[in-house]
Amino acid sequence: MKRVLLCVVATLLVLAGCQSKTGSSSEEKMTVNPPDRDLVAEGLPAFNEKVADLPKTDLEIWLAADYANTEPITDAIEEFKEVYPNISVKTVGIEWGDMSNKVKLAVSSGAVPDMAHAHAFAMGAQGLAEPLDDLWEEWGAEDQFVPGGIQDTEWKGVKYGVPIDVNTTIYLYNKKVFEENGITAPPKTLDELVDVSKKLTKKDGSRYGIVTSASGWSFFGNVIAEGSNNLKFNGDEVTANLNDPKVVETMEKYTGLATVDKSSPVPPPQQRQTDHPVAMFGTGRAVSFISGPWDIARIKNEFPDAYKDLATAPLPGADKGSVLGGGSLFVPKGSKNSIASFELMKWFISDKYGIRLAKEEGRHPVKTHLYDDEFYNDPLLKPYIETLQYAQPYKLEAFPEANDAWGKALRAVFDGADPQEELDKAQKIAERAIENSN
Amino acid sequence: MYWNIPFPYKGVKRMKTETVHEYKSVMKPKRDMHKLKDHIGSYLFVLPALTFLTLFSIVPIIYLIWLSFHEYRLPNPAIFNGVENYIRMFNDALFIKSIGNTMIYTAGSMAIGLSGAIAVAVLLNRKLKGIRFFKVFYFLPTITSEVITAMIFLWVFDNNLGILNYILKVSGVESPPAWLLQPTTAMIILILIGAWRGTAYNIPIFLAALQAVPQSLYEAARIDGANSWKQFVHITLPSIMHILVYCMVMSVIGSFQVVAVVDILTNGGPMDSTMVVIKHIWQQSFEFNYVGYGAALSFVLFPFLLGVTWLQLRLSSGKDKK
Repeated sequence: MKRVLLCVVATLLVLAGCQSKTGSSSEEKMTVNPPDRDLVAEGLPAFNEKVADLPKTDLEIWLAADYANTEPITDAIEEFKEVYPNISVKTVGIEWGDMSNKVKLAVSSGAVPDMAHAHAFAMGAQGLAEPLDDLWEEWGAEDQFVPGGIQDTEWKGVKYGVPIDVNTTIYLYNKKVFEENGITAPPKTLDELVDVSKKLTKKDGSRYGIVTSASGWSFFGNVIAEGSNNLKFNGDEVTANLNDPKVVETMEKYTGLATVDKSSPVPPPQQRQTDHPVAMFGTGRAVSFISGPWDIARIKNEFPDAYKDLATAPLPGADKGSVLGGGSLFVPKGSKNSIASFELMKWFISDKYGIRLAKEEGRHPVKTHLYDDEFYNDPLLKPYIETLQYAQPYKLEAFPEANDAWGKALRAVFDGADPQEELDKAQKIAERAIENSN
Repeated sequence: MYWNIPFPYKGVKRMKTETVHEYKSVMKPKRDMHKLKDHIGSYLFVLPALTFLTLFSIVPIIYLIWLSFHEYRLPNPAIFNGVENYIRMFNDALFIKSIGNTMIYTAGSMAIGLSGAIAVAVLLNRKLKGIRFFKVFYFLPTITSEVITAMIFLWVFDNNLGILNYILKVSGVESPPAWLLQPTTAMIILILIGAWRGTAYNIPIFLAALQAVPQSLYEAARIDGANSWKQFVHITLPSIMHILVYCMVMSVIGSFQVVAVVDILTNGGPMDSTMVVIKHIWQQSFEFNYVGYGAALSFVLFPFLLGVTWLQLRLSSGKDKK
């Protein structure tokens, strides 16, 4: 009996010691020669001898679920493996919202992937990403990027990743309804937006002038367009600026569209299909909304009639700019394959695959010169390209507690609370969150 | 003294004391070995369940207690910080609010849920025509996933697209309330959902209890002239009191675990009026990465729930004695 017990305990101990490994490399060397073609002429990164000299390496990469199996990504990986047969790549698709937690757990357990997809600055701020300044310096391509794209990877002056795509928000409106109501140009300031939205709203509730959103990220675009920011940066020092008078005023006017003027429905607490801004615009229940180029493609596909009357303009505001969206690729802390991983990142955003991501998936490129492509001659995309130069990344995401407080404040004001009070509360929480993270 | 030697030693003649002592000193090790073999066998049978319980309940609880005395923010290592997490808890206004909200939710959903369950169980206990048909459906709310339930009620109570407001508008109400966007109505709706699910869960339990009540008591009461209400109050309720206490305890424990419905319906709003304790703990631990603090908050729930359970048992045992 004692022997049986001992066997059982021993088996359990052995099983408890088992742990699966993610990316790995062996000492096995392969001779990798440069291919008989000009990679640069094809719009790909030049052959990298350092990567070719690496031993046999297995990369595990975690991409957002809606990127992982797209053709531009899978084709890029296949071609990369052909050029560097010593590197194998395993792709895992993970829901965008789950990525941060999964990376946290992976880094703390030690079983890290070699590449992940989120906002590299936020991951760097939380100590979850490897710094890549040396690899960027070696590459020397920083000036090719949209400024906001680089900012998405930087925290306190250190680059933690490579941007994969960028976007920003613009004002989308129905030009036919504008003309019918004698409005000859889209609003250029927040006050004009309020007036125009009121004018276009029908009293019986069958049509709203605008659809507002309770997304803290989206509203940040309006804050930038008014010339303010919810954080202040002084070198490496970051301070909360949530209750800045300009921010309070912007929140009051923006939420007032729904709560005071009734020019917009009060946004629901949950994201839904039927009263999504695109659905409301497409069915004629709303004349305008604020969103990004991804919704231009959606209107075209789902509401082709409404697409004929679609026009776009920069976000109305006292200043230029909006929120910068998109994402970046980073090397989670603890991975030993940053050289191979960084090279693969370069391939994803190369001219060849960057423009494919834009045309086939609506994921717009991070390199400035790619916007010279005739694809961007579309007049609907012109305001987007113009705004991109001034778009600011949403750095509050580096402080989850502060980010939550910001979103809650906006939600509370839509539910009837006082903007000053709510932003004062959010400011205190943000100050504490920033202090705790230092 | 003479000893009767029991089976399997029947037939052995009575022996003198000294001989018996000698006998016992020889036989005791053999009996002990036999007992030991029985015990080992029993422990081997419970070993899998015990291992599971240890690995997935006891060890995590011990780890939780250890974590609660540390500052732990992934991926940094845990740093011992004494009782700082507990001190922080007392200054956490939102945690205290979430406990209050959860208690309101518990009291409301328990009161309505258990009353509803008893009422329906009493109805189902009657030999009415077609009652079997209803016996199939009463359990449906419990077997429906919490997420689906929340989605259904969302589409009923949404202020823009909900069916309730549509009916109200058609009936002439110009501005029906935004049910989920006002603190009071949002909490009432959550309580109703909790009660709806709780009723369904407790009906079969009360039905079984009611069916165990001797009919002779009711016959005697009828002979004495007691009406239905008096029979219910003086016979039915006292007979099922032990089941009622059990259901109350389980309702409290279950209500303190509510999170999915809140997440989908209100996300803790409006203005934290429906923020419940488990959602707050989850947010602190996994969204804001205060894992040690979240552990402290979780650990504090245990004596709290224990106290509530003890109070319920005390109150009910006091009623029993009367």
